[in-house]
Amino acid sequence: MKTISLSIIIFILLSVIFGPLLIPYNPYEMDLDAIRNPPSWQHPFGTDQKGRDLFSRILFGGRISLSVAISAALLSFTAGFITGTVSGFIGGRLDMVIMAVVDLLMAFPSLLLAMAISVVLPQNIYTVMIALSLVGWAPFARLIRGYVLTIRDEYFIQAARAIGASETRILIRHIMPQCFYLGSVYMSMKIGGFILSEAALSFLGLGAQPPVPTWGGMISSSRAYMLSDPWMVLFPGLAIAITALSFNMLGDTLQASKKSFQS
Amino acid sequence: MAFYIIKRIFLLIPLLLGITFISFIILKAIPGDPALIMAGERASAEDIEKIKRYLGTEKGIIHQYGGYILMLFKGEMGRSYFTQRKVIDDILEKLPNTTLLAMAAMLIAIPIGLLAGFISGLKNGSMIDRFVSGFAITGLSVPVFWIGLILIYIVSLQLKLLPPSGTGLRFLILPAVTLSLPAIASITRITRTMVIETSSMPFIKTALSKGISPFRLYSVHIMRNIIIPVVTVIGIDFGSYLSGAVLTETIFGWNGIGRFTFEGIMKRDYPVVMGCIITATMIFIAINLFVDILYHFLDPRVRLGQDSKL
Repeated sequence: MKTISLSIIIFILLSVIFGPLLIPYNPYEMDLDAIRNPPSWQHPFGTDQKGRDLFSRILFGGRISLSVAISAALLSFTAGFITGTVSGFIGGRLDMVIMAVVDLLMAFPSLLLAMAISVVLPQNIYTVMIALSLVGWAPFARLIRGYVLTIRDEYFIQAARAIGASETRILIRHIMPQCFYLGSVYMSMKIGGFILSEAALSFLGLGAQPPVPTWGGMISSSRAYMLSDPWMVLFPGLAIAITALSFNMLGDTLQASKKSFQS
Repeated sequence: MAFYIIKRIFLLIPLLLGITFISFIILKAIPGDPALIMAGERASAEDIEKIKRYLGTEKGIIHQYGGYILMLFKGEMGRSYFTQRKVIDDILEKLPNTTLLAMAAMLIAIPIGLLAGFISGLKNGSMIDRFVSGFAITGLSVPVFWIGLILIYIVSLQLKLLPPSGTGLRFLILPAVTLSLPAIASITRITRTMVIETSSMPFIKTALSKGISPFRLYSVHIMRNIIIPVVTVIGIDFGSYLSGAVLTETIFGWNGIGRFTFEGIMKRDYPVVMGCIITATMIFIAINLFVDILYHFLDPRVRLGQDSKL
């Protein structure tokens, strides 16, 4: 399971990174003689309503959609990791304040809050990334903080303190490395969700604006042609589904290994 | 019991203050005067004056926030930029449609999810378990708006069985099925995990050795133990069903709060978007409060340890 999902992920990442270099078509170039062509040898996924090659738009859109989703996941991880470790380790009033903010953010339906944030931000490729990270760091912070609470009175921390390590040093050299594994497993479980959220927000027309391709945006702009040309909706959706599925499968196997690691 | 409920309701007050504060900050982040934004573009001068008086725009930010809460408290969420209608009126009008859709989706999702999860958990490792588990993880990975479009294409456009969009009972089936798919997937997954976990417990072995019928074993002994996590998952996921409703209602033209939110987003109709999101968050919080209270009826263990639970 792990090998299959990992190899699909690597294949998708490689084709999204290097694919656009190998494809003869420019994702922005309109060919008005080839409007809404069905899939063929020249255009394996067909062309869209402006005669642009769908295959190259999907590869190019994947660059944007995946880099937005993955960087949002990384940003959430980093922010949640730092606030979670600091909050759990220092405790006291700071912990109370940070956790109150976390609880508050988690009281919202997360995708709806991300929608509200993206609507008021200027629309560009960073919009969705910022909105997803502003919402997404909270569960990370809560998880990591909970774990810090269980380890901060362990012997190795007391030992470090006994030999005179400063609190900052204990936090950075002893607490943070302990939490890193848990945090990264959790992140890998969440990437699939970030991909779906990015797709939903770009489907709603938030974030990168046309003609820049995003997977969700491509589905939304080709909805009107679905009766005559279903492939225009089919292929971008398949791209989202397969990518999210392989990340979710990887997350499942990692979660199983996390369980055995903890017990 | 009554004490617990009252305590929970009091704990809501700081939460609601925080939520309105966040929505207030988002509103402040919109370029332009918040009073003008809330009043709508073609608002009359006295409407703007009224809102300005509420918000106290020339006073400090805390004061403005106080005015904002006061307005929300009176059920005032501003007027739409485009229709000039009160946002709250539109929301109240569309809420029953969304509730109907959500109920229908849950009515599909809960029995199917429970049944599939039960079978796959009891036959852990079999072909059927692999099939069900594969289906469940796929259901969590497929974008809900895309599945909706594919269903429209196959069922409405090709087979011509059901209408693609509109509001009414016949129009309800496709959007409800679409919205139920991620719910089926997550209910199946949690049921399966819990069935596997519960089946290996000693009390199951005891019950079996006493010659209990399989039906009684599943329906009483196992079911009572999995119901809490299943209800929790439904409560937690309810937020994602609400955002799923935005996409589903948009695709199927269902006249509910979800489509209203989408139209607000498209037209940058800020009072509408904020009103919808505050409403959805309130519903989400109410559902989770309801789930927490439900625990007390479903699980005696929670009742005993309720002080530590808080």
